[in-house]
Order: sequence, then C-alpha cells, then structure tokens
Amino acid sequence: MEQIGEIIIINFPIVIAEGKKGNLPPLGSIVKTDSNFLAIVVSHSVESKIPGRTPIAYWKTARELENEQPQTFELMRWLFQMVVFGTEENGNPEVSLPEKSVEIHSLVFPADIGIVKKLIDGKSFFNFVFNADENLFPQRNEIILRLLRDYFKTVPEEEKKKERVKVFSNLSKILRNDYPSLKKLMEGVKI
Amino acid sequence: MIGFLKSGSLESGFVVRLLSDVNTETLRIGDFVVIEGNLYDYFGIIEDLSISSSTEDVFFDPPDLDWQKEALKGTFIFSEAAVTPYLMVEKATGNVVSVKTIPQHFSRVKRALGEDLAKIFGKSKEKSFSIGTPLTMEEPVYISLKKLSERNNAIFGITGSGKTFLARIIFSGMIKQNVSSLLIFDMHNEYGQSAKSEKGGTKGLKALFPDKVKVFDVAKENRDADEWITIPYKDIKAADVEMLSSILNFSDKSSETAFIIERKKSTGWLEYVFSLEGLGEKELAEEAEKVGVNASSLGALIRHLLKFKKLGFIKNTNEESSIEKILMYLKNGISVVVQFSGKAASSPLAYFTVANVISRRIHEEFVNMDEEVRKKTRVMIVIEEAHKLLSTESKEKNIFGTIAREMRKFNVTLFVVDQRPSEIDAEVLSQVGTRFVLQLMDEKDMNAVFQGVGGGSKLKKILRTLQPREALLFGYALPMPIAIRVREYGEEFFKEMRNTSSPAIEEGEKDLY
Repeated sequence: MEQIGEIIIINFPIVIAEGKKGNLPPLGSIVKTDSNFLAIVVSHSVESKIPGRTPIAYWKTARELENEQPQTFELMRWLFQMVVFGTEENGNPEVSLPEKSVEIHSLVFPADIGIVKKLIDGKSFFNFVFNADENLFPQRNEIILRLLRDYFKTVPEEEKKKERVKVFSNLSKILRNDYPSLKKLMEGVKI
Repeated sequence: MIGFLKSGSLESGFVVRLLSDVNTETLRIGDFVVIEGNLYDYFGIIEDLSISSSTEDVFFDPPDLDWQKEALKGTFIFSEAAVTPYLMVEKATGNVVSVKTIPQHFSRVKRALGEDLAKIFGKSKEKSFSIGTPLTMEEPVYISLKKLSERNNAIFGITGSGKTFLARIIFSGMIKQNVSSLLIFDMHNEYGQSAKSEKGGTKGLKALFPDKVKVFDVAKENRDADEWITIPYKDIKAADVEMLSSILNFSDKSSETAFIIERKKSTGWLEYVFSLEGLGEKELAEEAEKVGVNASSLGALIRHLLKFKKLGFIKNTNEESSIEKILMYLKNGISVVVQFSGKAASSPLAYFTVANVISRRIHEEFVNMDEEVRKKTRVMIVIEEAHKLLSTESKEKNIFGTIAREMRKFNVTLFVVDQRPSEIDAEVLSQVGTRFVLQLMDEKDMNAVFQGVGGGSKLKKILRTLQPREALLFGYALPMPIAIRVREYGEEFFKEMRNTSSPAIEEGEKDLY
C-alpha cells in the first residue's frame, strides 16, 4: 500500500503529517497509520521547510514558477491535518478515541475501501463526528460531504439509491435536530 | 412487525410508531393488530392513522428525490397508528380476558395473523358461524349464534349497504344450527323462496332450508307462499289501531273513540265499527249516543278504519287464525317468513298491522308458557323499518317496545333491520345486545348506533371508512369489536348450508321435528 504521509506533529487527537508535494490525501478521506490508528483528513497546508522563512509573491503561475525556480518548491513542505477517531481491528473499524496517542513519525496510508464502507454504513463514526467539539472539525459538514461524495463514486450505479437511503437514514437519526445540515448533505451527494 | 409501542394509556389507547419500511397505504382503520407483551399478547384495532414530522423545517425545503424522502422516514417524517386494545391473551395459559394491564415501551406490534384471529374469533362449541372476514384478512370471523339469540340485535345501514345480504347470512346460520326459530316480517319479500340480488335473483331462506322454513303471505298473489294469512276482526285491538294512527291519519280523538268502543263491544268492536258503514247522519248519531262517543268522531273512525278492510286479509271470520299456525311452527323450531304481496306490497299499514298483531300474540303466548316448554323454545322476531315502531313516540303504542325491554327472559328477542337508528328510542337501543353496523351517512344515525357504547367515538372512525358489504360488529355476542367484509352469499355458501354433516339437532330439540 502506498504511503501518503508521515506524522510530524501531534496534539492528540489532532495530528499533522507531512505529505507528498502536490499530492495530499483528499479532505474528508479516511486514513490509517502503520499502528492501525484511523483518522479523517480535515485540512491541508503548505509552508516553508526553513523556520522563519515566508514565501513571497512572484506574480507567476505555480507552473511557470516551478519551471523557472524549482528550488522554491523544494524548500516547501506539504502538510495535512487529521483527527484520530479510532482504530482498525482485524479489518473492522472501532470508533472510540484510543487511550494512547499515535506515535510520532508513524507512517500514514489510505484506509481500505472496506473500512470506509463499514464506517459510513454504521452510526458510530457519524455520531463521533457530529458530537465532537466544533474546534476539532471546523468545517464538519463540508468534510463529511467530501467523504460521502468520494465514497458514493465507488458504489456501483445499481446500488447507489439503496446505499444513499441507508446512509442518510442513519445520518437523519444523528442530525434529527438539524434538518438544514442534513438537506445540504443530501443535495451535495446528488452531484 | 409493523412498529413498536410508543406511548398510551388504557383510557386513551396506545400509540404505535410504525416502522419506516411499513407502507401506510397497506394499513387500514379497523385492522386487527397484536401487541406482544412479556406476559400477554394484547389484541387491538387500529382506530386512526397519522403522518407527522419532527420539525417544520422539512416543509420549508422538502426533499425532492425519492431516495431523500425514503431516508427521512422514521426520523424527520414518521407514521403512527392509534390502537385501542380490547383483549389480552395470557401467553402461558391462552386465557382471554379484557384488557387490564398495559404492555411496556417498545413492545413489538404486528398485524394479526389468521392464528391470532382464531384465538378471538375462532370456531367454538357455542354454535359459532362464519359471517365474513376482517377487512384486510382472509381468515373467517365466527360469531356465537347462541349468544346472538340471547339478546336483541340490530343491523343498521343505509339503502344499498348490504343489510339484507348480511341478515340472510346470519339467519341462514341460525336456521341451519337450530339456534332459534325466526319470525321474519319480510317487508320487501327478500327472505322467502327467492330474493333479488345485484346479479338478478338469488336463493331465499326457504330455498335453502325447505323443511325448516314456512312462508306466509297476506296475499294469494304470492305463489311461493306455503300458507296465507287471515286476521279475524276479533284479533285486531284498539291498541293496534292507535299504533297506526300516523298511517291512518288518526287524531287522538279517533284513538280514544276506538278504545271506548272496544270497552263496550269487546272483541266485536271492529265488526261493529264496520257494520256502521253507510249509515245516515241520524242513525250514526243514535249509535254514537248508544256507545257514548261523539258522532263526528265515530264517523271519522269508520272512514279511517275502512282502509283496514281494503287490505283484504283482515276478515270477519271465525276460521282459525293463521296466527295460531305461525305460533305452532315457531314453537316446533320452524322459522316463519311473513311476506307482503299484492295490495299489501310496500304497504306500511299492512306490514305494521300484521307485525304488531302477530308479535302481540307471541308475547301473550310466551309470557304464559309453561317454564319447561319455554326452555326448549326460542323465538327471534325480525322487523324491518323498525324506527317506525320503536320511536320514542310509538314504542309505548305497540308490542315491540315491550318485547325489546322485557321478553329476553321469556326467550323472545328482537332482531331489528333498519336504516334510521337515530329515530329509534334511546331506551330501546340500549337493549340491543349486538349491533351490525354497515355504511351510515347521517351523523345522527352514526351517533345513535354508538349510544352507550364505551369507545364509541373511536369506533365511529372505523364506521366512516366502511364500503358497501362491510360491517362493524360489536356488542354482546362478540369478544371485541371487529370490522368485517361480509362473506359471499353464493354457491359456496349454499353448499355449506346444504351440508348435512353440520351440527345436528340437539337432544331435547329432536321432539320438536
């Protein structure tokens, strides 16, 4: 399985990993570490590798600049922030905050689609997300929408309707006091 | 499973939250459901169905795709059923009792199956008889004919709702199982040899039970009749005339005159009145003076009573009254259908006169009957258009009010077939043990049939949903109310009625045949 990042900052359950240049895991994607921690990607950032150095504007497109001054990009690092929400045990997700933090320099991989399906088909993952502090998930609805959109792309066309009903039935129980959010999510996955 | 118990009380009934995959269009008011408790199964009826939402937000921005609507079911939008529990069956023993306890939250609720229904409405030893099936089931509903014969009963429904159709089925059961002798005053000739039906003609009771039914008619035109009714003048009383005052256009004065003459002339009073026909003014005044009445009142009485004479079956004769024959048949377990053909067809005067005179005679006979003979004899008198006889104004003027109130202990009961229950006296209605209610449209009539019935307002909701040939049954002969689709009165039914392997005449009844 392809490694997509390495954890370099921990403020458990928030962890930040350095990813590959221009190829960060999508927002809302589910990832796992080499020690079987499960996390959801909640933000992306790019910064200079040299402390105190701030990139300046060159008024060129990224591609033009890369052709002219490739070192500018070599001095940058690509980061993604994740929220750890559980672990994987024998191919099954266990949604609850682990008692110990993930280790620094743990490697990060995309989670199997089977794990993603189990998380989305159940209630515990969404319960965790929608009952967590807002500071943990600043763009919660958008993040979940991204996750769902990507997930439904993997569902065969003939099963899509049934799967949508199943997922949103679960979500409607969790968002029972927030119809506008639920509606936004339902509208979002129509596309 | 269709849902789970959400809330409720014994007084107000239970609220069942329906599962999101239950299509509400497949449930119907009046459906029979079972709530599975720990110790008991509770049997109830769906009295109401509702759709609700947990928030109004849903309607500001409604879902527009089918899958979205589907996904909201059970949370933002949901359906509930109001269920009234009537009976509970102890799981350990199978004992059926009225509801006294309440099941717990989240108890499973399911549609009743045939086996559940059989526990409540199944075939029993008590001369039970199938009269239909629940509205959304195919399991037969049995009713205890024995219990039915013990109290007064009524079929109510508008024209075309299937009253006669249902009545014929019930009466067939009673005749076949020798539950009671029926005396049917058949106003529209629908119970005798043949009868009208939607498809043309159909069999009447006589055709189904030739040895157990006798057809009488007041007119010779009826060739199917076994015998014809003649009522001698002496059998008509002033009270009969008073009962018919509205039909005869009688004033109170005329009734009073009739009673005075009856006191003077006894059973010959009617013959005397008819003998005065054609007298001149002077002679009439002399006669009036002799009997102590007003001459003009006497003249009016003669004019009114001549309508009796025109009926043809009221005669000045000393022949044995056909009433005696009718009584003999009834006492011997033979049912009698009294029909009205010729001039008497659809004549309220003929119908009510015959019904009242014969029923009065039965009343006298049974009140004075030897206790041992009475034990073996049970008569049910069937009257149509009963509201004309049992209204508050007329119930005291005829024998039917008395029969309804007092004759149960003498083994004589009434079976009323009527379309205007609101016009029947409330006290008489309260004496009706079992009610078969078909479609009714008038609010007053609907209220009347539930008068004095616990939970009547809930049952009314069921009544409103009934289609022709569907009936709501409740009362003494039923363990709990139930809405049914009346069974077909056709070949299959006729075959069942002809089947001689059905209950034989019981010991003690044999000597009656």
